[in-house]
This record gives sequence, structure tokens and C-alpha cells, in this order.
Amino acid sequence: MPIVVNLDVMMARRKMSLTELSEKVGITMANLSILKTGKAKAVRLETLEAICRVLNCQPGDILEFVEE
Amino acid sequence: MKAKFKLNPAAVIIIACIIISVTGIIWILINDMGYRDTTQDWSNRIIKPIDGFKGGETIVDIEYNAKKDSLASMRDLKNGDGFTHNWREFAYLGTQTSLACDTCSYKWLIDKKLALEINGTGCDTCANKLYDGHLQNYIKLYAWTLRRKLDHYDDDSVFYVKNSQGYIREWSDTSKNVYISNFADVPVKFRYSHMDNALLIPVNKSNASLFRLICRLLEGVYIIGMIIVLYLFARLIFDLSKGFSFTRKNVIRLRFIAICIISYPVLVLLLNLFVKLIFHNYFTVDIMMRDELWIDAWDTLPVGLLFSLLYLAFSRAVMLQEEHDLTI
Repeated sequence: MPIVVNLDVMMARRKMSLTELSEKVGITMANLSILKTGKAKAVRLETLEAICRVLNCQPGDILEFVEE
Repeated sequence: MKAKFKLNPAAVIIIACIIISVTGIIWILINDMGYRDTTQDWSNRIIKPIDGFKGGETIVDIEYNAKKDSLASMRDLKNGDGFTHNWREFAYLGTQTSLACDTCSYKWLIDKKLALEINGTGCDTCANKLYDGHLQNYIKLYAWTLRRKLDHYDDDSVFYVKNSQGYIREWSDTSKNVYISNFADVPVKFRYSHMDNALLIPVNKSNASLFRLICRLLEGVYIIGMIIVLYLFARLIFDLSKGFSFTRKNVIRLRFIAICIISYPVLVLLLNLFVKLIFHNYFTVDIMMRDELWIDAWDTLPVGLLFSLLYLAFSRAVMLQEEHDLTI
């Protein structure tokens, strides 16, 4: 898929673990893992909003379009 | 942006169903318009018909009925259709062993029957020994029958045997008088069962046995296929009752069931066309495919179509389910 999820990069920049992010965003570890590994087919706007608020970043910092 | 063309298997199945149905309709329309009666005894066209008189217990009635029975037996004996032993195998294919004698008298037949009754009680092979030399083996093709027309019965092809040679009586309306038809007796290689309206291909005993063996093998494959389909259907029902509805396994099961159900009538049709190809030397223009083949196919196709639609719906549902499950 040409959309790459850079969640792990942002988490590393903010020095935040998956457990901590999952607690602060309010979604399960399993779902967060699906998102991080790029297996997710869709992301709800409210989830994106919560992640951006916790990581203090823009949606473009997490999602990136890479042409195949 | 590159456009990708992906062929959907369900769409292919549905298109195949439509093609088969349309071909069937065209086939029926080409042959004639509508359903034909296949129960009429066509041997009666050649020889004066035997009436349905049953009579009472008087000596005259008994003698009359005995005469009638002898006439019917002799007709069957001449046509090679006497004392028939049928093996209906699989997919409109079968074999037949029957008495065939053009020169034998009715007395000969009665003597043999009496000898069989006296000596052959409880003996399966006695008949073979007794009628040795007059028993003929046939491959029986139930899918192929003599051509008939609905509108004018006198135009129908008629089969009979004379001096051990099979003939087809072909009618032609070349005469200006509509009440007088010309006909020609054309010698043919095949024989014809008036009882079942099926084509008979004369073969030797070993070939008939080989044919039976092949039919049994095909039947075995069919039975195994049916067991697998039933097992998959049972598993599908079991999974649905457990709440595992829209899973990839169920989609694969539905696809397999749909393919099996749809392919059966297609394979039967192809098998009979293949048999025609093998015995093409025996076939003439007077032989046509039996309508029941299409009628049977139409009985099966709606079920296959239903499973195809279920497969289509389930595969779409699985896609939506996955999308829902993977939406964060």
C-alpha cells in the first residue's frame, strides 16, 4: 500500500512506548500494533486526532504517501 | 494511474450459467418447439400395431392373447431387443445384453425358455449358455434417441431390423399428394431399444465389460464428489450456527459447492458428446440428443446459481468484515 504509517518514528521521537500511547489514546495495544505495522485498512478521524494530540504532531507526520 | 482488470470467479460462474441456459434454449428451439413424448413404441410403425385387447378367460381370448404375445416376442427377437438385461450406469450411459436372432422361430424361443425354466432355476449363467450365439452385448446410450417431430408424426425416423441388418425408414414429402409420403430404408450400423428409446452400439462382451468398468469409475468419482460437497455443506452449516459466518473458509466452501453443482450437468453433457465422438461411425442424422439431458441440467443449474450468488455475497461480506476489523 502506498500509504506508509510512521507511527513508530514519531513514538521514538517523543520517546513514548506503545503501552503508554495506548493508555493515553484509549485504544487497545492490538489495534495500535495493527496501525503501526501498516496492516490497518482505515483510520478513524477521531483516532488520528487522539494520536496527534498525544504525540503533539500533524497527521502528515504519521501518514506519508510513497509512490510504488 | 494503471487500470487493473481482475476477473471475479463468481462473475465467471454466473456468466457460465447464463451461457449454458441460453445454449440449452437454442438447442431445444433448433431441434423442435417444445416437449416430445418419448414413451411411444416406434416399432409399431413398421408392423401392424398390437392392440391393447385383454379379453376374458374364454379359449378364443386366451389363444388371441397368446398369438399377440408371440408376435411381440418375435418382433423383439428380430430387433435384437428380446429378453433384455439392462445396466443403467451413470450419466445416461449403460449397457444391455439381449437376444438377437433374425432367423429363429417362435418355437425355438419357446423351447429355449422351457429348457431354461426346467434346467436353469436359480442359475444366473444358464441363460448365457442356453442362448449362446444369440446373445448380443450393446453399449446403451440413453442420451441419444431417434429424431422425431411434433407437428407430423409420419415424418419421424423409424428403426427396424431385417435379415440381421438395422434400417432407418426416412420419410420425405416429395409427393404432391399430402396424404402419400415417400420413404427410403437406409441401412445403419446401430441398433435401437424401443423400450427405452435409447441408441444401442453393438460391441463384444469384453468391450461392454470395459465400458461398464469406466462408467463405474466415473460414478465413483461422482459419489466421492457428492460426499465432499455434502461434508463441506455440513461444515458450512455448523460454522454458521457457531457464529463464524463471514470467513474465508466459508467462501472457499461455497465456491467449491457452486462449481461442483454447476459442473455436473456440463460434464454429463460433455461426456455424452465425447461418447458420440468415439462412436461417430454409428451416428446418422436421424439421431438426436434427448431433451431430458437439458431438463435435468435445468433442475441442477438454479441450485448452482443460488450457491454462486451466496458465494458472491459471502466474499463481499468477508471483505467488509475485514475492513471493519482493520479499521482503527
